[in-house]
Amino acid sequence: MTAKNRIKNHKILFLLEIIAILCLAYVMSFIITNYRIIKDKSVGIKTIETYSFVDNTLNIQFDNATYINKIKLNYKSQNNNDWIMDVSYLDIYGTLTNKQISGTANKNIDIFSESLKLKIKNIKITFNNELADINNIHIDNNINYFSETYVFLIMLLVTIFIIFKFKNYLFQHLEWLFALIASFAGIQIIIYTPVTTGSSWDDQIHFAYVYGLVNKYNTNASIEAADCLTNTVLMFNTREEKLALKNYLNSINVKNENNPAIRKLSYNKITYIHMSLAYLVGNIFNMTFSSMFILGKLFNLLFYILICFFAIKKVPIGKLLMLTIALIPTTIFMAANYSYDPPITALILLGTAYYLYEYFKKEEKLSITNAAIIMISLVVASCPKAIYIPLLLLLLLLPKEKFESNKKCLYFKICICIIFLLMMATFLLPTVTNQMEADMRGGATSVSGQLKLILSSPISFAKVFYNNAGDLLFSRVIGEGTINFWAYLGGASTSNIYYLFLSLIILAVVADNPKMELSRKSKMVISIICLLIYCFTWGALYLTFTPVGATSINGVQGRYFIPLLYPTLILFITQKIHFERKSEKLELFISISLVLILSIMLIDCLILKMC
Amino acid sequence: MKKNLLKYTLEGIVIISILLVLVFLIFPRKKPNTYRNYEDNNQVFANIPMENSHTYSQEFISKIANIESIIIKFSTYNKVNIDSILEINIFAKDELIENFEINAKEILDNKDYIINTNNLKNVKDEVIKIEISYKNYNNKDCVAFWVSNEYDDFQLTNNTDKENKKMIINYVGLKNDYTFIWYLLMILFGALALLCLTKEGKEDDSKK
Repeated sequence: MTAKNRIKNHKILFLLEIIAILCLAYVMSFIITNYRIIKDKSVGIKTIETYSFVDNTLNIQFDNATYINKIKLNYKSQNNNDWIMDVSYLDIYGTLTNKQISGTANKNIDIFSESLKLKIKNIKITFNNELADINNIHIDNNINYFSETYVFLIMLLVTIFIIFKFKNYLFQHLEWLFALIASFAGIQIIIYTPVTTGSSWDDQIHFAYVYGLVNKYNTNASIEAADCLTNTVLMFNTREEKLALKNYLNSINVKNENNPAIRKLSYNKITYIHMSLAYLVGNIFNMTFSSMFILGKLFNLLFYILICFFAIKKVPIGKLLMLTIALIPTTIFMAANYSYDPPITALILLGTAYYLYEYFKKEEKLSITNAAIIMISLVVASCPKAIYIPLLLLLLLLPKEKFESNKKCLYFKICICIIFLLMMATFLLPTVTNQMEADMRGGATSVSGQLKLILSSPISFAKVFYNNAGDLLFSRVIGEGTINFWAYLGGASTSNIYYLFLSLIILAVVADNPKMELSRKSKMVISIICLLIYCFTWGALYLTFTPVGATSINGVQGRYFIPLLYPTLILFITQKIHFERKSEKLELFISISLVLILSIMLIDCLILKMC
Repeated sequence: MKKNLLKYTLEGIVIISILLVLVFLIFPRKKPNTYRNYEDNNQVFANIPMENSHTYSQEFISKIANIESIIIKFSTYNKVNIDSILEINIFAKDELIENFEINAKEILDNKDYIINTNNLKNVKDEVIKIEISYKNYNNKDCVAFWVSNEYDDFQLTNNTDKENKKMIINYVGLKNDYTFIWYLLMILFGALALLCLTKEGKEDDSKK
């Protein structure tokens, strides 16, 4: 067989493999989605004729337990309606069990739809406001020929196929492996999450900033549509509601060239620029509002993937660890939404990676490009949250051999110290001069009041600080809420994936077998820096987000510490542990496990609710 | 040549940064955080920062001679639904010039409340004080809202201070305009740090 024929055969084989995957995905998806409907012989749409609607409460009673895939109704309401649904259903043993679900019915759409997938005896839905008109209550048990499950299975099978097919290349170029897995999960999150805010933490505020940066130029996204997303949190659960809201947003998206609400680009909003660009691009291609909204999320994801890609490529030790940390489900979820936390995490990973590269290349002088990348990435990452700037002090650890002369080394380090002090001053000065504003979301907060209290009772404050920051150290830094929690969409149904993720991190640390190791002094300095940032974060939130005199520190979320995970965990990478491993088995295990973890999150938080 | 170009670029950044810092230091703004001046339509936007009391006041120095209107923009988390009246007093040269009342229930999120002033003539370089206080506040719960001059600076919040029955206003303010110098200094020292890493040029080599 000639070489030409061999290549041709390979191409045909590859094509057949892809076709087989598509077919397999379709069959699996069809069975998974429709198995219960077919088994219960309850196919079709059934209108519910007998029901009562008294005092904003809809009561539906079934004579015999009925399998319900989705319950739907049409309504008209002047206000957004919070609802609570009490469901009595037969559990797996046929015992009558109760379950409560809650949500919000949006005033701007007229359809209510909830995915139940249970054999139900009684449904009671209580709305907090009166619905003007409620009609067309029906059960949707239609056969689903094309569902989100199909898209998910195709992407899952294709990702696993690529990992196996190109494992030699991918395991030697972990940055590509990262890009593959991050795209697999990130793109799906974007596809399935609602075309509205309210999925991720404070995404309505982040969206408002992103939109505000460009709406002067953007005539395709009106302030009315944007207001819809910034001023109210519009939650919905199913595909039908998603589509209805998408249509509504596009319908109110009237061209508005005279828009007064323009925000200036201040320094702390620098990490929003890439998301704002999506709206400019969308404008060029005359995209609808909802498409631009999705594009904004996509640009955030691409930025995160791109920065982490170069970080993983450059880092000389703990590559697998960096890959694992960059694929933390919580971060991937935020990267696929409006949030500035993932860009911060990515930039800190990039700065740390380039720093470590320079640290271990002792025989080479510090390159200007690398020094600029380290400084810019760490400073830009600290612009929205100046609390991370102590990481810049890592540059002080570089030995004098990295510089042309002792004098230049000294000057360089003095400049670094000044930059550090300047950045620290942006949040320390307003605090000590009583100019910093507290965050009123925390309650009766006051920075000056809290500061006075701390200064008048320092020992009591130390106790409060220890009781919070000390006791919650592991829970906040590497707890389940930090690793695999998707904000308002919830977490996975099982904690097993959290423990699996923890074991992957341990494996990545232990099995690194590094050729070089950080010195004891460097490890000491890095741990002090990380501890300093940890304490600053708790301290800042005690001042700004906690009511004066409270004994618990509010508002500290695990996601704030994700950027510190890599710098902290490389401290445990040592040459003293030698991990015997067969080539590429570990990489395969870790990559497949990560795909599995992200898949379970996708299924539990999004796919099951949508279809 | 390439290295020299890099060195010259960095030196250029250093010089420009120094010049800009000097310009900002020589011509400082008197109250950078308290007002913005829209001379084109003779409107002054005033910020009311947070204070934990019933009355909130803010002073600014007028940069224009005749203030025709003052715009106050409230940001609320929910629609304000309390039985309360907001009293707005405007002082110039320590004299009460204008007095207005707004029903709290009428306050809408992100809406401009334009107060047309008749008596703020010839007030250039004078201290103008805006004072906002609450009357008839007797509700158990309250919804916080605040005054801002920038769409940029809104944050959504609600707050209840039942014990003191005080309405707490929060203003998430503009960063002080001097922040710009901070960042300029950072660029300056960043460029200086990188300059320390440039290799000596040909001239220096020949001297050696």
